[in-house]
Amino acid sequence: MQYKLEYSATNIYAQHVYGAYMKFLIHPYAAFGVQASFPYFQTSAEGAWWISNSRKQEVSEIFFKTDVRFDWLDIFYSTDVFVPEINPFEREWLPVLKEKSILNSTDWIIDNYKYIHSAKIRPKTFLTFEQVTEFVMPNKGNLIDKIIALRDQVHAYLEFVSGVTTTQTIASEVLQLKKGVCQDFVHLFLAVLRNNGIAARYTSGYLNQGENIRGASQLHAWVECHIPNVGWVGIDPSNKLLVDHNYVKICHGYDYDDCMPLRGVVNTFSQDQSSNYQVKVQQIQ
Amino acid sequence: MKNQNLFNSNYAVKKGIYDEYVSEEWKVRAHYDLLSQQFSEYNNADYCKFNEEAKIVFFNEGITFAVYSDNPLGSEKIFPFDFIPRIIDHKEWSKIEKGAIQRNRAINEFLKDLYHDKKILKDGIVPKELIYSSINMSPVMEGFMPKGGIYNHISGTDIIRHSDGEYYVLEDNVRCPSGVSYVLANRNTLKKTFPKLFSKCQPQPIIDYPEKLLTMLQSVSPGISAPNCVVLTPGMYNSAYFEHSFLAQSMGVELVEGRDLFVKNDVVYMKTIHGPERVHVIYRRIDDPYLDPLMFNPDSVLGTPGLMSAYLAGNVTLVNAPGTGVADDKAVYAYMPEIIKYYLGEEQILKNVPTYRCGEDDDFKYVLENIDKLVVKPVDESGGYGISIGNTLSKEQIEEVKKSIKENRRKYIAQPIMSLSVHPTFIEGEDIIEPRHIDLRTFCLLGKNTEYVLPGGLTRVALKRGNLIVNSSQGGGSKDTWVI
Repeated sequence: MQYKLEYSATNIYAQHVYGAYMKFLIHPYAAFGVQASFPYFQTSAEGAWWISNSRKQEVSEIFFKTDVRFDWLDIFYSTDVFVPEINPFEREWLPVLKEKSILNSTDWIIDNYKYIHSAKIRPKTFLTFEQVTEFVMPNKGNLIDKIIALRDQVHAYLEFVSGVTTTQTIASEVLQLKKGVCQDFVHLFLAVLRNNGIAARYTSGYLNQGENIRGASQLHAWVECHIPNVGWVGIDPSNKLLVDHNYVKICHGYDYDDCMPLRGVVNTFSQDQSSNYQVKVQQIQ
Repeated sequence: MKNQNLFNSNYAVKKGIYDEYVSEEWKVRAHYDLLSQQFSEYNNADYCKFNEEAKIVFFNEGITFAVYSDNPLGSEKIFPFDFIPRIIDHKEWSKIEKGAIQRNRAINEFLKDLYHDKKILKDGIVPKELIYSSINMSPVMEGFMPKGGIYNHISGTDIIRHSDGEYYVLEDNVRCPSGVSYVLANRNTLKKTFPKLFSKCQPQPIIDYPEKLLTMLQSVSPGISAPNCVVLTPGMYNSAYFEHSFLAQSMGVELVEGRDLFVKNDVVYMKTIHGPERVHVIYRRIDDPYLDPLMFNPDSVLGTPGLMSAYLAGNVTLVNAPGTGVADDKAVYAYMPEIIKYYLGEEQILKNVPTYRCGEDDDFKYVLENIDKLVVKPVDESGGYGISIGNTLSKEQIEEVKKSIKENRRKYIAQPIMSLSVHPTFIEGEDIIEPRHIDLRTFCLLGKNTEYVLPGGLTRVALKRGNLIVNSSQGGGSKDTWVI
């Protein structure tokens, strides 16, 4: 599949800005046959920009540095990306017993511990086992079946409502609100998965628009679970789907904080600013 | 016990505490003979004079530190200095030196393993819960190898001498430990105060520390023969600002703040009047969370945006590496003997404070019976949380601690409460010499193919009578430390 991706943002500041340094995590993740063209990147303020792959070879961070004065900043980014077609159900799941023995091995647990451990120091995805007893993992079946069962429970538990949460909302608040957007679905789902000993990570990216698909004009979020012999498999709790070629990944991390699309430092005297962004995913072929 | 002849004053030592200067039989220890002879010529008026002279030198040279709690605006105080030097016999020192290098090499291997293969966790030597509950385990360091394979370039090992006369390591500091500038300043001051004694005793020199430090920094630079090294400070309000400026000045490198640097194309530059100048090695005295607002704490104004990207791209070396804090946690400390054995195949040279693991039956029994004499620590909580000190607990609290241990035996370890040795110290105001508790911070440098321990280190002294806390923020001072 060939897509044209666009990301545009406008930031308006309450007072003059005297220079800024920004980092955008909006360029596709280069792995599993996904190929993105060199991006087009333009800003309303004059400055320098470059791509850094220092975080991970597959992850492209776009840095922007400017020393000029401005009151607002428009950013426009676009790229063409090729995503190979995949059928998420056509995978070689291991026999249940073999899979179980790998999942219980010390090597597996330690190699994946970073994404299994529900860490108190990262409250966005932290819930205790007692808090997630409502979500019951079936005893039988492959790991993927169990994950799908949990996904459906999380999907049923939450109502997709914009504007009730922010990017700072933590899992325990989502649990009480029972509402949220894609990243809230993901944070709660991650907490449930990790409490059941499943290695799971936050994933951000673009979603090809379709009817009844949630989170299409914004950047999307979903979960990747590590499954023996198969690797990291994408699961979307907001749309009750397995991730396929309609999803274009940007990066993964422990929670939203590792995948924030924009982080920046601006030299100004007021903290007040308004910002909005939108994305467009256009299928070319 | 009192002895009228010691320092011409009422010098008394409590039984059961090790005195560095005299033995229990009131005999001056051999390595203090020269000092004892020299001091027998002085009286109280001389001591007051020495003290005043030392203070004037400290004042004139601006050897200060700031205590945040005293004054939020960061006013500075003269660093309290005691003019009676602590002397360590060279044979004892050689053991401390070897021990410090061994420990820090093992810590370096440990960090390399934690951020790569995690063998020590897989082999069950150190519990994984302990490592992953640590706020200092840095996910961005996962899979990244710093230049020269060195993480803890500069380490401070805190050592005490217990009542049994043995040295024990109290803690490891691998997050840019401070204090080394005071060692150099103390030596400088004392040379002026006791020139004769100094030339008689010939303590091992420490003057070349800045040179060794610079050589070490250059050895880990990203592949350039004449690298540009800088010292990165949080600024003049930091408690150790004196040290930052002292080290930069004595190494002959620039002292910079975060705003003096910028990053372009993953390369770090310093703003100078001649235009941007590339920086290769940063001896940073800023804590991990403040290094880069785009990677860690977004509110940090102390760091430089983009610095971590330049670091991970291999274009600049940070000294010490980010994420080293996971190795100097109090709970990790308990596993140091095993860590040394695991990576180096050696027994530890410097002892750890003995540790009882409640998961083992004999230890469990001992801990329950002697809980009032022990410090109980949970193994899966980092940062000093959940620690109970036996002799400060009420009966109810002791029962509570016992209950929690019984509920989850594997979760707890216990260590005896250690006593610190004492050393003759001049007490200002009372103008007499009395024993006061001391410890020792040694400074170890690890570079690419270089290992160095500063001879002596920083002896810290608790100036209040009976006080065991030697930190400068709590009213502690320091002494010059001589290895002879």
